[in-house]
Amino acid sequence: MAKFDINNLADALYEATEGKTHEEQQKLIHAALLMIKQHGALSHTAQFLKRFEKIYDEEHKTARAVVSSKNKLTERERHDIKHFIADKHKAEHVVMEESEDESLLGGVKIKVGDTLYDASLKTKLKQLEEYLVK
Amino acid sequence: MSKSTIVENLKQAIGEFKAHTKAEKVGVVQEVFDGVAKVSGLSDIKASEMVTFAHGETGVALNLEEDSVGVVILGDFSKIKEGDEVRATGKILEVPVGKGTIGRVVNALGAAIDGKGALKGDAMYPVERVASGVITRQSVDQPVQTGIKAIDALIPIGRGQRELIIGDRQTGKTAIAIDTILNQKGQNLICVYVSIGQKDSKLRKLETRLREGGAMDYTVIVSAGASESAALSYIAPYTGVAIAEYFMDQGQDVLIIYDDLSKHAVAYREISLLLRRPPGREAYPGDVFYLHSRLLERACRRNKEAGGGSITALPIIETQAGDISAYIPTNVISITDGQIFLETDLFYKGIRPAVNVGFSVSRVGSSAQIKAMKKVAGTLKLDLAQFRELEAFSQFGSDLDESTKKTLDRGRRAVEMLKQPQYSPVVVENQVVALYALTRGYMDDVPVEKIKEFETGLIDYASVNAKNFMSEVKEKGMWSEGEEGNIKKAIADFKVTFLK
Repeated sequence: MAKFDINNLADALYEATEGKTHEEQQKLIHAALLMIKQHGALSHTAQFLKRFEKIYDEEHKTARAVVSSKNKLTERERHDIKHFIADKHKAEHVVMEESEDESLLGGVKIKVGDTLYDASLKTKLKQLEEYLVK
Repeated sequence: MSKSTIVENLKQAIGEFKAHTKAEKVGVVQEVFDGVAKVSGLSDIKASEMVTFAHGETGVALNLEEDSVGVVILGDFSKIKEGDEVRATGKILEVPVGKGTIGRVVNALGAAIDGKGALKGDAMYPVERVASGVITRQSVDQPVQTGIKAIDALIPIGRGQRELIIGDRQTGKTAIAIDTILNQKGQNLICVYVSIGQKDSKLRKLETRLREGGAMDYTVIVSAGASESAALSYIAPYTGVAIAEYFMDQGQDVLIIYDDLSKHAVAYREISLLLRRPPGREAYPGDVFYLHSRLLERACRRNKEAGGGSITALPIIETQAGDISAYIPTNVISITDGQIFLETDLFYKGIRPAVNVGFSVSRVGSSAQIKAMKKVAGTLKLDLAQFRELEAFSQFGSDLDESTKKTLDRGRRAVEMLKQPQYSPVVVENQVVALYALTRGYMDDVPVEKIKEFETGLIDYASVNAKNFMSEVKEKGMWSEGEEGNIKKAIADFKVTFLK
């Protein structure tokens, strides 16, 4: 028998639940959790959720972004950033998580998955430093 | 410079500066220990790609796993902590190379460590590069004159060859390498000395020695010291060969010495085990052969169409108690085109350099010798082999026939003549004169203990009385018919005065 792989289970669960009614989905999720328990892999549920989220995002063209800025974003900025992310990542939905970070000094830092767009003042100053030292 | 001009210059520089924002791949340090970090994220990273940590340290991605990357940290890892951001650079590890490196001491990342200011390279070369292909190569046919009689006569090294120097500790392995570098003055050969896991005091001594001998005018030293991390020891030889490749690409001949590859293998073993790669024989990882073969394969001699130039490699291996059949020695022996085997017993018998002529070979052989040397040294190896065999037998009896006695006498004189003190390389024309006298039997009636004296005297005498012979050997690589008579006469004349 092939080795039990939590990622494969997440893939399978996604395929199985797609387009099913809420009740059926409940049943499937229950079965999947039981299976995880049987294989003694309950400690890996975080990994399972992460994988499931990833598949869901891929299939639904959703981009999850973490945006940090010095001050709170204005409506207009939020709108521009959303457009930027949707354009770069060919996403239809953008889920944004905002945070404030004093140390950035200004500008924004956008992280989508493991891609980083660093337009903060802090990084620009660092670049200037490197340029001048050269 | 006045204050205002400085401010003006700064203003101008700042005016020219343009900040750029681009998409970067980032990861997060999950765990870090012993110079190795496990990083999540970094989804599009390449093998051996350079990454930078939050405080500016560099690392190399060696293990690409499903959702994490194993990174070896080049340099100080004490400031890196869990949760730190790691950025991919999109570049394979590269080092500055160029003419500016000559005379300098650099570390494994190509940065100067000799306190003589920053080093500015003419180009950046990747440390890992695929070796020159078969079409661009040419067979080895030019000698590297090591200045060591035993090597130049019996185990000749050619430009583009890979010759292993192997032996126990304290048998003079580094001495051979240093003498070879010292002898390259005016030979149009750039030398790169890669020191891997050596004591800093040893390196300092060596550098001073080379500087005193004027050898730093054509030598680069790459050093990964014993106090630095294993990752730097692992990278250092590749950095050295990248520096050498730059000169080869300019059509020049280069000699590179790796001192030593046993420590390199140990450093790689350490990294591999930390990265949790499965251990194999002697706990070395499975790809330890490839580690050295891809390095040594970069030594080559390129043909004219490919721009010429060559890299000659002299890797050094330290054996334990003379065991050349251990894992790493056998690997490197099979990769190289021959080996110079040094022995403790010979060393303590006073035969220095302690080359065991029987076990040492050069697979490129006499095609890497000048014609004159081929002529005089042709029979020497056989003479010595016969001598060793008879020497063992002759210890049992005293009644020996005439021919055996003769072989023994000749052998004793040959062994005596091949002795040579450290830091005193002999130029090829002097070697030819001495070997001519030996192999043509002129030394047979000189007492063994006087051979050294005879040799030095003869060279001095011949350089005055057989000048043409020596200059012909030096320039054309062979003497002409007429000059042979002159050298015979010179030797005979000298012997008469010497034996008086």
